[in-house]
Amino acid sequence: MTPHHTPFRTFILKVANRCNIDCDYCYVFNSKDQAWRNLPARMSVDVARAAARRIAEHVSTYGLRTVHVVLHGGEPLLAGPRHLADLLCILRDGIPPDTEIRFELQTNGTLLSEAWLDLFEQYAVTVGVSLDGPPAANDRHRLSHSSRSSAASAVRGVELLRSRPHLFAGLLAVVDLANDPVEVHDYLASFEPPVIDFGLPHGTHDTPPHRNDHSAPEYGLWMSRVYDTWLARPQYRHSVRMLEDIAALSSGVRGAVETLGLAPPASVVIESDGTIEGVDTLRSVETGASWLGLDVFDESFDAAIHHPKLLHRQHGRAALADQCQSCPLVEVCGGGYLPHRFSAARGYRNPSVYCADLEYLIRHVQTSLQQHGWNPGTPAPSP
Amino acid sequence: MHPPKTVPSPPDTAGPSTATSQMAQGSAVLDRIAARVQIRLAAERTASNSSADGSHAASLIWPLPL
Repeated sequence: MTPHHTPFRTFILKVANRCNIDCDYCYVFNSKDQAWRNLPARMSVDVARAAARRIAEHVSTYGLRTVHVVLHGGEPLLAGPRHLADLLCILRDGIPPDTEIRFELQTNGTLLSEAWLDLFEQYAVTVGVSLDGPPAANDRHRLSHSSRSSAASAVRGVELLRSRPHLFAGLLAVVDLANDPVEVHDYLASFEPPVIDFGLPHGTHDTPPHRNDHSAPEYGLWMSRVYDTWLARPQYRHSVRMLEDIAALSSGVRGAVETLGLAPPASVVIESDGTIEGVDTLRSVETGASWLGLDVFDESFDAAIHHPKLLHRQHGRAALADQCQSCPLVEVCGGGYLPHRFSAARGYRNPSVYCADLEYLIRHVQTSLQQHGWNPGTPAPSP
Repeated sequence: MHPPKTVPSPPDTAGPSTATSQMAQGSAVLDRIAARVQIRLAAERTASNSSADGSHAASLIWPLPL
């Protein structure tokens, strides 16, 4: 074992590389990198067998007791129930039985059915659904290929999932400033998910995210209103992942979603043809940004851990822009999400395009925590 | 900042003002957050591998059962 490198604990399998809807912000299909055009529409059993073998090897090398296996896409349900059952069987049988496998699937929800849920029961697959808010909010971006709303079919899927709450992982939304944050929060909360999370739209310094007022931290303000609404609705039991992670990181926790904090990301992506990627969302940055030139047939995951394109993930604060390294909030924001730091001129050594937003939001949350009697302390040092 | 070992009680709500009521509501949610944060801190401290890790943003993995 290499003590100074973090092993992968989450394996994201792109079991389908097509989608039945056409979200305009999608980093897979509607970004600069169009790699999906040359990838198989679904992952074959041969790729799944090779991936399982590599996961087993990694588990053994690092003595991992638990791994997450995420069935991702595209829309993973396009793989079809019989084929996905085959893949799940291969993965379960290929990973040592003394290792706990937590299966998770991220879907747009529109194709969910009782038959799918029966399969997920069999393999204890928990399901996260992507939904941006009420139909009008969701329809801003999440339309079908014929520009029709996907909201009704997504909501039908969520309602079906609610009938088996132990399979419901939560709801994942992308922020749009045109939507009302209170309305979006309350709508998503009404489905009683265990977790809601919000993603900021992908953008770089060369193609920055949309803003109405460039002098204001509009995304920070938007998420702060979500935070206040969350606190004002104790009848709901859900967590809001990004906001809870800010509280956790401010309290000395080190692990968080890869968009925050300084902990090395511990996830790796296996494409439908078996190629290995580190950060799949880098497709939003430039063509080839996520490409490592590795695949599960020929290389172990250790080759990815030590790949020059991913080594910076192990460096924490030292990999950040100078102004981030000296920022008092760096332990919490971690310099922002990797794709959001990019510029063609300076690579990833920039503050996030959401720097002002993150600063506003983190200070908003921390002030609230102090007002409620949480004791100020020093966050844990970076790895 | 560190979450308190015992989460503070909500403020006295006799004769509540709107602000006091909001504070109490916020405390209920923050109590739950504090409990989960303490579990996460404890899990990180006792993990055989002491390095924490960051989970994938485009899927809903949570570091502990809710």
